[in-house]
Amino acid sequence: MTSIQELKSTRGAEDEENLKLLQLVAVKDKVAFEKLYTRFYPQLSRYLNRLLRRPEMMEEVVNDTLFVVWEKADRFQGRSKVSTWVTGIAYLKGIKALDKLRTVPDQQADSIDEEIEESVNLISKLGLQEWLTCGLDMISADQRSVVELTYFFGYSYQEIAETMGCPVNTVKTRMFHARRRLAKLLPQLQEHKGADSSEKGTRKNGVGESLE
Amino acid sequence: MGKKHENIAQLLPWFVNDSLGRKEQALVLSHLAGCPDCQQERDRLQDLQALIVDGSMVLPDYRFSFRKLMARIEAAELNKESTADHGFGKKRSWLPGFGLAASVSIIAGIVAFVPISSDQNKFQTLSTVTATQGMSHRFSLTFAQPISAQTMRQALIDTNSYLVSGPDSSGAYIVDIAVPDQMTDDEFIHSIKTIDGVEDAAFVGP
Repeated sequence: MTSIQELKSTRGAEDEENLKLLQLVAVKDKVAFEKLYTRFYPQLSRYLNRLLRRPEMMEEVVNDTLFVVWEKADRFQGRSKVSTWVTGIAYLKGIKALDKLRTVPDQQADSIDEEIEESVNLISKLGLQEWLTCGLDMISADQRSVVELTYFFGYSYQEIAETMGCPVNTVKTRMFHARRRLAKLLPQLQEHKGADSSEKGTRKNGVGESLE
Repeated sequence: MGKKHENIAQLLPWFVNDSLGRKEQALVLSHLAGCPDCQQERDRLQDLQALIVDGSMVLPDYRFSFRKLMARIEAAELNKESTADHGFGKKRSWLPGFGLAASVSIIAGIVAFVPISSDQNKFQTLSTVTATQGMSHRFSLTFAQPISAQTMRQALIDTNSYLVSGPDSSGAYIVDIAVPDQMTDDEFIHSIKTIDGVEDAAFVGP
């Protein structure tokens, strides 16, 4: 498993390399584009899989994103990291794809609270990853994006605001609502952790105590 | 709970992912020392992060997706050239137009229905097959029938074929196509030759 710290420590050097490749892509270098594609394919797939919750749409939206990168590489002005710029395009493409499907918009997300209550019993029977999958299904796409960019990609709230094209306070608000909804399911996580810990006889430093 | 507590609690996710600036990090640390609620929330968020980072995902081979995208890019570029030619009203020779039409014919042929295994007694588009299986081979194809640039673009997107070059002096195009595993070389060539507009097809390399 790659830790957030490991991911963050390699990000500076990676972005330097991404910038070099993007400059070559701007002059339509297809070999550089393939290298850039292989770099971004895993992380965009992961991000869009989480955002869309529809694996069958993932490849198409990844390619929509990188098609824009190919077309607009010469317009990148270096005001953000290349990865932030590319992820921002992926976010917009993902949201557009979801709009086409007429999925639940943010303003209707409050009704999801009722679904959470009904689902708690079912989720208690699931494993942790299934729990997470169900939990993420119950928050809006914008909230999922903030959660994923924070916890998996290790982005700061300023970088997330840049990626999603919104004020930092909007990022904090989306995270607040996501936490509130996920918290209703967290007791299930605590029970699982307790069971796991008692079986293995081990526990992470300082994490388990408050979950008793 | 005070305003300060609320502000600090909002920052906890980014304290957990270690992306806060020094000043904010110091503020959170100082608050955490005296706030059991925030300590508990921090622990929950650490667990949540561990779970999210741990979620593995099996990715398909990027090469299939990349070939699709390159086909789309090629088509878009051809379309731009075609639009530019028409938009500025330049008088062009018949040859480039024919070349574009012939390219479309290639793709139209690929999109056409070809039989798959006899026991299934079903038909499937070649593009569906190439998207999921089969080794890529290089073909030389010649065509006779003109087709619109729009059809060509859509066909390139829909299929996994990759236009390499052409036409040469004899009017042949070089394309890469993934041959379905369940078809022999002869069967595949034959299936292409039976498509309307295709005059000839031959392997030129793996």
